[in-house]
This record gives sequence, C-alpha cells and structure tokens, in this order.
Amino acid sequence: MNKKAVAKVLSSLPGFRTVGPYYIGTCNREVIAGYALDAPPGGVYISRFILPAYDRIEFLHMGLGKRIAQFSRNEAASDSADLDLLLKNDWQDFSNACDCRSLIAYLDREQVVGDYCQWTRYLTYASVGDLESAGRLELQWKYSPGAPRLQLIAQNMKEVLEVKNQSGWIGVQELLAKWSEHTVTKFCH
Amino acid sequence: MLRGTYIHTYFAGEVTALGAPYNVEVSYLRGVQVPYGARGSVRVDAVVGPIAAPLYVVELKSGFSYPTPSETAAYNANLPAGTGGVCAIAEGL
Repeated sequence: MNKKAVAKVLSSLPGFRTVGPYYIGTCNREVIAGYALDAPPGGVYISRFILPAYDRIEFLHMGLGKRIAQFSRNEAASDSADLDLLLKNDWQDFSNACDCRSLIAYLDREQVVGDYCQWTRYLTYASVGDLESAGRLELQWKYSPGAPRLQLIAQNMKEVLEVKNQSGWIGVQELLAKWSEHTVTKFCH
Repeated sequence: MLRGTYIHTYFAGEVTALGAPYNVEVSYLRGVQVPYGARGSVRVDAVVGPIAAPLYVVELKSGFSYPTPSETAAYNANLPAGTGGVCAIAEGL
C-alpha cells in the first residue's frame, strides 16, 4: 500500500482527528494517543504513539510507541479492508490506555524502554500521588551520571525540581496540571 | 529507480526480513522517534535493538560517500541517549 492509501484508512477511523502525520484517538488531560504514519523513501509504517498529557509536549512523537504495520513500496497492493480491520482490532485494546494508571500498565505490558519511558513513569507517579515511586526514580537519576540524558527531558525536569524545592509535591502536581491544560489546548481541539 | 534508492530499498528489505531486533528507516528528533520528514530529525537506515534505546544504528552510504562531520553531529544531537554508536556501511571504503 502506498502512503495515500494508508492515510485514507487512518483518517477513516471513527472518532480520530488528524494532526500532520498523527491520527489522534484519545486526547484528554491524562493521555494523548493514537497512530502515526511514517513514510520514508523505502516503505510505509504505522506506529502507535502514546504520551502523558501532563508533560510539557513541544511536539508529538513515538517515544513510547511501537510499529504495528509496515508496507514495502514494491509490495503488491494490499487490501485496505485488512488494514482497517487490523487498526480497529488494535485500537480495541490500545484505547484502554487512556489515563495515568492504564498508561503505566501499558508501559509494563509492552515492556517499553528508554529515558522517555522513565520520565513518563516519574511524571505519572507524581501526578497520581505515588510519591515513594517518584522519589525512588529521582534518586536513581541523582546517582546515575549524566541523567536524565535526553535534552527533551532535562529542561522539563529542571523546572519540576525547582518547583518541588519551592512548593513540594503539591507544587509539582499543580505544574503538571498546567502542562496538561496546555497539551489539551494545543492538540485536542 | 535510482541506483542509491535501489541499494537502500534492497537493504531495507533484507534487514526487515531478519525481524526483531532489527528495524529499518527510523527517524529521531531530540532522542525520540518521529515520522520521516519531521523538521530537524535524522533518519538512520537500520536500528539494532529497541527503537527507543538502540544498541547501535546503521547508516548505509551509497555512491562512495561517507558520513560528513555535520551528519555525525546531527546523529549525536538526535539519537536516543545511550545509543552504542553509528555503524556506517560505505561503498569502496
């Protein structure tokens, strides 16, 4: 299937809205999730994407995602109905990751790895008030040289830690609520 | 099809056939995966290991070219932290 045919199937998913190459199915104060269409020169790929809405999100990405379908440019035309069925079946399960707790369950179930995953866990623990788990992660970073290693995270983490020093976890939760509001305004309308 | 495109497409097909833990044609921006064409992103030809935390990535250079310093700098700025390295496969080197 070519990019156009795949995009057509993605945009026909009920309840989804399109933001560039992203097809957003869930967008609330806790989670933003759906599918991304990735079409480099050699093939066409569909990935899940899911992000914590309470992060300060500059751009959508698949840092917690997973490729679920791929098509070679040279492949004979596949059936759009097959792809539609695949996506609807996938969404039936994937759409359950729609709040803080189910996001953590998703990360565990899919064995998501990487620095952004750890950052998501930290924000989520702070957001739901599991301060022991959040504190444990913070300690790991403190004693791990160079952590957090992603520039994308470092700036946000600096702000979280500054607020925590000034106002404690309550202040952090207020900051996350502010970021969540910003995400909803930016991507959900 | 252009020769370079053919080589990359052939390579992508061979690597895809290997299955996990290999992935092809992955784009990154500031350490996270993004769709191809995202402004400022880099695209690697193959990833070994999880896409979010690669063991190393592969850059295929056709036409007797090789990674330039600016390409290397872009990889360093955009690949996930902890990526083991960039393995360049180049013709004639």
